[in-house]
Amino acid sequence: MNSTPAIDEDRALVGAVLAGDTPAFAGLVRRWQTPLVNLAWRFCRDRGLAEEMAQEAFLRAFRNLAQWRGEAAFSTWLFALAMNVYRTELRRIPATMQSLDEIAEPADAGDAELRPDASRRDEALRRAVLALPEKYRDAVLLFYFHEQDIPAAARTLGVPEGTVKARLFRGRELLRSRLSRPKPARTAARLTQHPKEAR
Amino acid sequence: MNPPQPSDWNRALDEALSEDRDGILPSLGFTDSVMTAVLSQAPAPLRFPWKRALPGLIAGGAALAGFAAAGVRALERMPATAPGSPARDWRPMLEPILQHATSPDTLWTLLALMIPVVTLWLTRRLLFSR
Repeated sequence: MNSTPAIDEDRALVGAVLAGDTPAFAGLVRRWQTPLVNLAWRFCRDRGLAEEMAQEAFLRAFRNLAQWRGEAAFSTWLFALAMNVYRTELRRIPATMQSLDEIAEPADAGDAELRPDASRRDEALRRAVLALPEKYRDAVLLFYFHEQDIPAAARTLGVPEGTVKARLFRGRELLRSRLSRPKPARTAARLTQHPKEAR
Repeated sequence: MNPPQPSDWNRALDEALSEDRDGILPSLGFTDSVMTAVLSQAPAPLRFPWKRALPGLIAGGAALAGFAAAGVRALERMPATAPGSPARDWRPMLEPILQHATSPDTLWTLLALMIPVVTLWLTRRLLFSR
């Protein structure tokens, strides 16, 4: 996700900001706004909230820029910081997520007859992922955010790769077992909905 | 209905969540919005603490002048004719410098040396006062 010239450019921009050239921070924002907004969006599925959270992450990055020692890539440091911000923000403004037990069963992954409902199934899956316990949710979302790269997800979470693998496995198992049950709540599919979406 | 196998399930999860790869694009004004917030929080550029530094600068200047005066006095007290004495070696070199110290050429030289200093100061002031 980050090549050597890009790393050098990040380093130069951070150096300029730390030397007092605050407007140089716009270069970092332009470079990383899309991944940061997207990462936030995966956590809340709400564009407005995603941008708010990404802005808060950039502000936190600006305030703590001197703490980036340059040992890891700037993106690794930024994503880890953003993850902490997003977790905090989502706890502060809890989405009205339904529990896994309440989620409607998606179309059976192996059932060809229900293939036309694939988009509904995908949406139900995404919502089910958001309803997972935090540590499994983070592992699953980051794994796909980092294009199924376990080492990158581990660096962002600040945990060993083995932990990410274990959490991915457990998260998938939870999703599979819960979503394969008979569907008691399909009709009352409140599904994950943020208060802002409900307005 | 058969429950989905783990491989089917993983494939379904991969399909659903990999589609998010492109995700959404930030709004057009996002960078400006972030920078407005950043600039409102950015600390003002640090000014040089002249008030605090002034006593130190005065003391340093006085000490330097004292050392210079003591050095000149020591050179003057030494017999100029003593073979190998510093006064014998240095006095002839110092005399033309002292003679030219008050000439108009010296003032022009000092002025020329000041120009880069003032230019640098003005540039920094214009850059960081935005």
